[in-house]
Formats: sequence, C-alpha cells, structure tokens
Amino acid sequence: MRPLLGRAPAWLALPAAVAVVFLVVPLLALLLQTPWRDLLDLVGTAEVRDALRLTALTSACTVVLCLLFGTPLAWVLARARFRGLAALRALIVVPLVLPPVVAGVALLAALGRRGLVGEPLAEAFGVRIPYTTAAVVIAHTFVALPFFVLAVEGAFRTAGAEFDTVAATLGADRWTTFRRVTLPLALPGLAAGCALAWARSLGEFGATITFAGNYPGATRTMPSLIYTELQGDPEVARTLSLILLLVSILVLGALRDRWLRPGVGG
Amino acid sequence: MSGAETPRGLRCDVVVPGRLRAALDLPPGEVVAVLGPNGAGKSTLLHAVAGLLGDVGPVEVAGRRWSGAGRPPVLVPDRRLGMAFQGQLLFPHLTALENVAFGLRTRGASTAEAAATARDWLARFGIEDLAGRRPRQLSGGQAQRVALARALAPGPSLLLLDEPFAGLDVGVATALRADLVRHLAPLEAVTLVVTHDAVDAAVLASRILVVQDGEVVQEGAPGEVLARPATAHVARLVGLNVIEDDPAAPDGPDGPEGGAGRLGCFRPSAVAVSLEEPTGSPRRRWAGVVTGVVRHGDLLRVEVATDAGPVLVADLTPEAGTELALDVGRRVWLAVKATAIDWQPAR
Repeated sequence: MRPLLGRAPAWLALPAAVAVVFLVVPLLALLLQTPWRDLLDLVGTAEVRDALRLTALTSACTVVLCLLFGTPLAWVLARARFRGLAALRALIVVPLVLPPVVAGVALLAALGRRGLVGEPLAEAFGVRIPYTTAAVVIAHTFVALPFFVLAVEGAFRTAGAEFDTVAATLGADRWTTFRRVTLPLALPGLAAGCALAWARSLGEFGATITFAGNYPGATRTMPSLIYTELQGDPEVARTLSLILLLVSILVLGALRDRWLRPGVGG
Repeated sequence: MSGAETPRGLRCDVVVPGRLRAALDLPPGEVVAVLGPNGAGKSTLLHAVAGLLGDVGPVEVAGRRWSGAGRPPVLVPDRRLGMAFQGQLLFPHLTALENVAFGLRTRGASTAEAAATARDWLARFGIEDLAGRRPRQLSGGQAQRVALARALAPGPSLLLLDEPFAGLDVGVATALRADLVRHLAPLEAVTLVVTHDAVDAAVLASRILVVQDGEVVQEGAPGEVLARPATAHVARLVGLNVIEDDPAAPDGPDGPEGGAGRLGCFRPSAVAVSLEEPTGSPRRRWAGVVTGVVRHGDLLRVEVATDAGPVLVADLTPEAGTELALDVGRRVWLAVKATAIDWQPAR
C-alpha cells in the first residue's frame, strides 16, 4: 500500500549500493579468512587470556567511573543554570572529536612523569601512573566519558524538569528528587550510556598505547594484542579481531532499540 | 507569633514583571475560582504563589512567611502546598499509590504509614482498586483523581489546582467536581482553582477572582460576580449578551460618565425578536442575520450576527420561532429594553 511515486533513482541507488559493499566486504573478509578451528585453542593461551581479562577489567572500571562521575556531570548539564554552562558543555565535547593519539599525548602531558599533575604526584606520593593498568582505565575513561555524559544528559532532559517541579511541590529536596524521580526515569538512557562507554573502552587503542603502553599482563588489552600479533601472525590477529567483532555485535544487539530504529538518533 | 492579626489564610502581593500583579487576602478554608481568558495570567498566579517563578514578593500562608520582607524565600519543598498541574504530571514510573504516597514520604512518614494514608485518599476518590496501576494504564479522569489525591494527601496549607477538569468528558468532570466539593469543604487550606467554566466556579468556589491582562479585575462572591460580570469574558462564560458602550447610538445610555469604556450585559431571555423594526419605549435595537437556531431546554436559542458587529443570542419559545419562521440566513430585528441592560465600567 505504498504511494505510487516511482522507483528509487539510479543517482541515489547506485552510490548507496557502493556504500553498502564498502561497509560489508571487510567484515565478510574477516569472517571468511579466520581460521575458525584455531579459535578455541587461541582463547586458551595465556597471552590471549591475559588480554581478555585486562580488557574486561578495564572496561568494567571505565563504566563504573563513568557512572560515578559522569552521571552527576550529566545532571549538572541538564539541570543547572549558571554562566559558562554552554562553554562547559563545549569543553566536555572536545574529547569526543579528539584523535585518540592526541588524547594519549594530552594525558601524558597531564599525568606523565614530567606532567602538570604527574610530577608533583610522583614527588609527593611516589605515584607513577603512566604505563600501568590504572593508566589504561584513565585513558579509556577520558575517551568514553563524553559519550556517556551526552547520552545521560539527553535522558535527564527527556525525564523532564517538570517532574522536578512536581516533586518539589510534594516536599522533595533536589537530592530526593534525583534519587526517586530523575534517576529512575532516566534508567534506559543510563543503560545506553553504560553500553556506549563500555564499547568505547573495549575498542580503545590509540590513547591506550600512547599513555599506557603495550605491556603484557599490565596494559596489553585486546586491541593492543591484535596490533602486536599483526606484526607476526596475521591469522591470530584476525581470530582475535573476530572475537572483538562478535562482542561488538552483542552490544549492538543490546542497543538495537536505540540505534536500529529509523529516525531515532543515538 | 500569637495575636489576632496573624494571617491564617493566604496573603500575598506578587509581581511577575510583564505578566502579573496580584494582591490577595483570603481567609482559611476559602475556595477561590480563578477565571479569565487564555493568557490572562491565571496559571502564572498559581506558579508565582507556589514559588516556581522565584521571589515574586511577599507571600504569607497560614501565618508563615514564604517570601518577602527582604529575607530569602522559603524553598518550594519547604512550603506546605499541594499542586495539581495541567496534564496531571503523574510520575510515570510509580504506581497510583506510590504517586499519592510520594508527598507523605518526603515529609517523614514511614513507608507503611504513607501507603496506608495514600490508600485512604485513593478510596476517598473512589479509585482504591487502581492503586497498583501505573499512570499510562489510567484514563484521564482516573489520572486526574490520582493527581488530586496526591496534592491533598500531605495536608497542604495552600492548594493550587490548575484546570483540574480540562480535557475530561462532561460526565467525568461533573462527577469529579462533586467529589472535589466534598473534599475541599472541611479543609483549613486556601484553595485556588483555575478554571474556564462558570459552573465550576459556581459549584466549587466560595469566591471568584477574575484575572485579565495580568491583573485581578474583579473579586467577590460567585453569585455577585456571575450576576454582574465586569468583564466580557465572564459575561460570555455565564451566557450573557455583552455589548460595549456606544455613545453615538440613538438610544445609548446617558449618564454622567457616558462615553466609551462601559460594558452592558443582558440575558438572552430579555431580547425580543421581530421581523419589522421595533418601536416603542426606550430600547436598544439591532438589525442582523440569524446564524444559528438550537434548542436550549424548553426554549429556542437564536444566534444573530448584527450588522453593527456584536453577535447576540436571544431565547424565545418554539411557538414564537415557528411564527417568525426563524432559520439560518433570515434577517431579523433584535430589541432590548434599556432597563434590562446592566451597565458596568469595563475592565
């Protein structure tokens, strides 16, 4: 029962087809060129298990840090009214478009041995951050936090300031309102923000390798391992990539309501 | 603290720049209908008194100073007020019971106490069986009952109801109005009800406040305001014909303050309809075209677009209507005895 408007014009249909091929062929190649039989053996090796464990640990820590610090920031952006709010939002969005290597260099400048914060930190407490697992988590959080904050800010806005007003007339202070109204209403957005942050952390490579290095067991996450293996054994790299691809597809599946609905922005 | 002069109801003198200026002094238990055209400032008045528009000037409720006198205003959560908003705004993630219990919990009731009191309030509005439903599972009338129960349950000193019957079917609104009358009667609180309905005002209110262009233009007992409306808006709400003073008219009212700026109201039953130009005792008369004929109780209500401008309505018996062969498009004359027109300074 479609209106009779005619076929899609070739000027649109052909480039669209090229775009589809362009997106699908590499993934297809990965699937076809992967030695599936070696998959289980490979996952069993200490090196891969270390990388998987580290990736799971750092991405989980990233999500927790995003929740703890990103949620309040999202609330401030969605609800607070003060001068410089627009500038603050712009500042927060910058890491979103920052090349990951630049993010790593910036983190070194701040927390490195000669860094703005790193040097006094090392002198006062003997704490050295770069090239540790903590550095991986910091790099991931730096990259993921803006995504998380924007997703949750949107959810807080949708949750509606008018419900804050209603809660206030019912005697609720702002903290009570946050806990009992704003947060529960924004729960789906919060979940989406977590998935987004987790996915960012999972695939983070540039900032990690710059700021945290590539030390087995300490900072070698899955993407870094894939990069390392690619120098020696491309087949192993492909198999590891497939594992990450499968995980990504799982995330996409969890988020399909948000992303795969036509006309709905992420 | 003590003393006879401590105000117990609502006393305020609020100013919202460009939108509203209102000074009120209302005794406890008063139910005030706030009438006025769209955009007149009715909702603004409610929001201003509630503290939702910042510090708008002195507001005193039940002897407590909420704002004014150079002190920082009391925050909204610390004001004992109950508010029912347009569109209800029930918390969508909470059940009907939890919505009503919300204001009891924030004011220190235990979960069990709050649930018991909330259930009691749902029962008073006849919707105890809906306690476990979420707002999206409620009809408009049911949701409005939950919203009113939620506003009333914590025992507010000031109750603000913004168009509580808007968007409801006539039957539902009538039943809800009857319920509300029952619940408001024993209250110590001052209640402000924004409404667009003269019947709401007459049935619910002990006092009517007419707001127009951001100002209170008439205030008084319902009988008084509805019988002698000072604004065209209220006159039309109660079904009166409204004409503006026209000193140039041959039979225009003469008076010391004659001239523009007066409003004449008269009942549709005072209008005589004829096919010939009427003569006789001092009358106002208009020629015009019939634009509608409908039954109105035992009578016919005839709507006439007069050549001079105003649309007027006349009530006459069906027999008279048949005799005059009244139908849409017919040219008629309307006449009203000068003594039947009630002149007021226009506001």
